[in-house]
Amino acid sequence: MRRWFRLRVRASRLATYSSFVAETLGGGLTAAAAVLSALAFLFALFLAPAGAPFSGLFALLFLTNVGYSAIALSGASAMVSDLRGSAQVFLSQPLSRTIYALAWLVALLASMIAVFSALLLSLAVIDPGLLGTLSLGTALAWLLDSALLSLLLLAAALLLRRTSVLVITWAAVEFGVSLLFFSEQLAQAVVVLRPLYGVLSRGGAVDTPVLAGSALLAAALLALLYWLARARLEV
Amino acid sequence: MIVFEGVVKRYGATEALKGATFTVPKGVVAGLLGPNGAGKTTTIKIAAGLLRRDGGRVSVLGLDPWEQGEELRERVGVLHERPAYPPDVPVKVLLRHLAKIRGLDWEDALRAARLAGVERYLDHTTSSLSRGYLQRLGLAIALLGEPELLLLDEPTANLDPSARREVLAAIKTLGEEMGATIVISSHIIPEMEQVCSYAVIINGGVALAQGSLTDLATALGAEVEFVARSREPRRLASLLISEEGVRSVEVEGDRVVARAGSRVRQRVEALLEEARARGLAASWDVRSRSLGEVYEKVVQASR
Repeated sequence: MRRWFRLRVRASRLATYSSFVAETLGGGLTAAAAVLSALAFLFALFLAPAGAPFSGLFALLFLTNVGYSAIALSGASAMVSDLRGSAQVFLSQPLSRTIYALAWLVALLASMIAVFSALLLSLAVIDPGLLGTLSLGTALAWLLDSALLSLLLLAAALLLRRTSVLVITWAAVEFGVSLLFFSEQLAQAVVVLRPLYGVLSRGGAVDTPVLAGSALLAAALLALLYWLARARLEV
Repeated sequence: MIVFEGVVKRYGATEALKGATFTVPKGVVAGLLGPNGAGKTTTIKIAAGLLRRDGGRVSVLGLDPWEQGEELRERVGVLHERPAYPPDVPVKVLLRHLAKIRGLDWEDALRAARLAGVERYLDHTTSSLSRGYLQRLGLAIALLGEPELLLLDEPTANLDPSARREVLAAIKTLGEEMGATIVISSHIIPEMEQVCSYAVIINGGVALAQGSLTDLATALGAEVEFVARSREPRRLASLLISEEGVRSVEVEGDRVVARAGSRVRQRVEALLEEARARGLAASWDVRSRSLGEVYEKVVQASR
């Protein structure tokens, strides 16, 4: 009973702090997610007369993925600023270090889901038939790809607390890893980190083991984030 | 209430705490005193569970601050030396969110804002507040939920004299009204003398001395002050001034204040006890107003 009560209290604190992050600290997150959603709608509208060819859908997935990666970078940078500033005010409250870090992750993932939902909604509004061109595997690849980047950036933010390191990490994942896809052998080595690129480079064919590998990598990064927050987060 | 045993904290090659050992009992207003760089802020942060110790044992309210920080901070309020608040956030929004994290409602947040004297600035953004009001906001945040223990790191730092007086008066009132244990870190000894009843003197990462101000003054041969109430204050004053070792006696209404070296403390106490038994003194107390002297003696002895 007591354990259940504490769990409820923690869930409530996580919700309170992540909403504060989304509303204020990472205030740009919500605005950027809204702008990106509007852009996705306009782009989808532009593609619709062409009868939604695969390449058009892929371009839309790519655009929103890159757009979200910029949001993730700005969110992780806001976390770095917070760790150097107001984090001590929040961590002086009954907020555990792990809940603090998870709240930032929740705020980022909420933006990610908002962007992806807006993409789906745009397709549905323009032509519900367009939704049929998006397979579940491709959708999962988009979500896993974006979640992996968020986790990686937040772990880097907690570990190194430098915006410059975040930008380098972001550029390496966004551009460096993408360049490796030009070589088939190297692509196989890094595809679990960029499952969306794996799907796009294979013309829409979803490789289930790759998605499973990406999910495992996401779980490992989540465990790393949890450990960093629990053992290393000092303010 | 607070126990530090051989606590070590390193920042890279620098050792900020080198085996600090001290205790702070329940119900006191304790001054954590020491020069800049003595390890005061590190001590406060370790006690609040914001920094991990590298060695030793820490217990605050019976809990390990680093491992059980969330439970501990449900009962502790912290004011940081230079608190950084999220910019452009209205005070009201910040207080509401922090109160919600503590499971409190807006009325509780408003009460804390009133106690700290920041209620007129609820609609202002944090970046528009003066240094003094930022400090008051920090105090309001520390007071949320009326905690059992307040950890205040340099609460009067960077304030003008009138703001310093106001913040000190607020702390004094809080100690008396809330009955909370308060730990204040500072290097401004005259201010600490006004509010503290207990002191831990820290320098170079080790606790050099600790105890009630009176006990410290007695142990170090500093001056102590006896305050007695009497219906015949002048008669009591003449009795006290005739005692060898009593340096001065003042009468203020029914109060008699005598100052003496701590070497004669026991004799004066015996005299006052005898006066009370005869009905000449209604009550009496001993206190120290020589924290500066104590501090200097302790720091000099450590050199």
